[in-house]
Amino acid sequence: MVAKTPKTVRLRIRSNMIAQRNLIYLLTGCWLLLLPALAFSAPGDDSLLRKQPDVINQSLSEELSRIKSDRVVRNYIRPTLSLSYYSTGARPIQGNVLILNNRLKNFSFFQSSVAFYTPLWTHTRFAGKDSSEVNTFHLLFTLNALTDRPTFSGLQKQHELYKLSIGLRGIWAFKSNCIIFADASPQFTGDKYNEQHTRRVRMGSTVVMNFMVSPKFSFRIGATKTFLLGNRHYLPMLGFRVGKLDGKCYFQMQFPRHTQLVIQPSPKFAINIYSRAYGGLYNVSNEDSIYLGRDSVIQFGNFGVANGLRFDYRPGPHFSCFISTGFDMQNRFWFYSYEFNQLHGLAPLAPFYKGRPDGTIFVNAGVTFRFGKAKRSTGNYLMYDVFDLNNTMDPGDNNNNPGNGDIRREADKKEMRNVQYKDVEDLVDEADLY
Amino acid sequence: MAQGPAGGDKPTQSGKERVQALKVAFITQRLNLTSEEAEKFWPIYNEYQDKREAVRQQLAENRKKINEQSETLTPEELMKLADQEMTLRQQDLDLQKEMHEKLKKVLPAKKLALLYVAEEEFKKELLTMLKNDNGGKDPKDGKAPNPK
Repeated sequence: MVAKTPKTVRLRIRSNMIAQRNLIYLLTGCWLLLLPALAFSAPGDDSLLRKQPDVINQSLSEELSRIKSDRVVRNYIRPTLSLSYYSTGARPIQGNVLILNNRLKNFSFFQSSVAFYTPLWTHTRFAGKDSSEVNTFHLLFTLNALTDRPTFSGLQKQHELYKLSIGLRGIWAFKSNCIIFADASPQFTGDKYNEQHTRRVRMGSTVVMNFMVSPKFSFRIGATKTFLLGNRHYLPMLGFRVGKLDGKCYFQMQFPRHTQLVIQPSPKFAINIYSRAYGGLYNVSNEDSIYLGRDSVIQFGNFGVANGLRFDYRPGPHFSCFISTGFDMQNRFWFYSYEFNQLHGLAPLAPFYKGRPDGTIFVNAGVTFRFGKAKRSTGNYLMYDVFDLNNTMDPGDNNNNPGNGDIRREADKKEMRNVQYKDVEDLVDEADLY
Repeated sequence: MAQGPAGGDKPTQSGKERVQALKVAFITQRLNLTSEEAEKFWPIYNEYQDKREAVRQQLAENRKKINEQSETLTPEELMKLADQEMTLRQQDLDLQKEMHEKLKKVLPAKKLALLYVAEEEFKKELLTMLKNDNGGKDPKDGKAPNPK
């Protein structure tokens, strides 16, 4: 017969379990915050390069093996920081509630974003039946801080919406032609108008499988939970690419994110004709009574399609920038009221107002900094697809693309000019000179 | 093996990247690699080139240390550095042999044999380019790199 556990003991066990759970959350939080710092110090750390080897008590070969393994660069993906700015002109709104159309008047949109990712752990191993496949796994920490300013000329005080995403992503490249990409990024959103009442955590995530049929063709299938289209959507991800990523031209389509034709006339310049979706979903304060009900907080979703021309300039491996302009079309925004929808038995994100601003021109610009050294990947097309996946799925579910600055364009014969001695001295043996 | 003078300017990342891209184009063309062969060949080749580069860097540093401190280091320390030179050279050769064994599995014999020829040809082509561009002078010290 099993004796019953007294209530006080049960309560103590329960409180211990809660304490343990809280401790795990705390440790996980600390770990997430500390990992980037560790990532910066661990892979590619060259502090040992400056150390004088202490060979007194160790055998020479042991010491050298240790130094050698510490000196080998471990990551293919470098820590990268991207900043971008997007702005549209003001235009009138066609909405389904006349009183709100008159109240809101013209609409313009501004977005600024800072995105960062860094490898936490990269694992490379020889696999396959004859140990001749190079499989790689990349674990990355991602961070994004974004500010959206939907500006209504009829409102006296504008809403400034923010989103902070902290996430992890894993990319596994295997079998010479397959990649599995998984990204999870919790998003902390709010409205600076009334920060306290508008805070909301949402979760964006993506899983994609990429198959490289040949360096000139690859396709992707997957699924995503995204707020990019102004509402919460669970969507399939489908895409393909035709043309080499390091070639003169390639075309890429990736539903629901972008379509682009990239022309690369030289290693330093790229021209991109594209169409991309942008948007988000936020809680906004109703203090200025956008909605005439009693809610203190309502929801705002926006979506647009930016069709434009983008010029990328990459003077070196550590820096690239772009400027882009075009026409912002299919712009939509929605206001939702959870309270109203709950009372009337509607879906939580059924809108009470749909706004359709006219099309307008936009300006988009950005800079990207890539830090440190990376393992060589020239000619490794599967790794190029890894870079492309990582760049097209930006941290934070915003669909900003820092560009494939880490893919070196295919070399031209004319590049043989201007080669400097210092760039080739590693390759040269004295016997070559006789 | 790196035989450039110790010290001086470090190779630029973009310059090295450019040379790597040129090497890839050169070898791919010379070996006439198919897409399937290239997909398997380049990851293995790059992996070993990274490891070899680490060994070469260590060699260059050892030589720099010997060059700069040959008057101050003890004979024991100098002997240790000389021993390290041999060990590192052996490690480089070991890596080359490891790579060779892996490449045997992904390239046919003719292409594997041609790889080593192509590597040498690429070096010679670079040296010819350098000679033509710089009038045979090493931009670092203005002296001809050819010791002859």
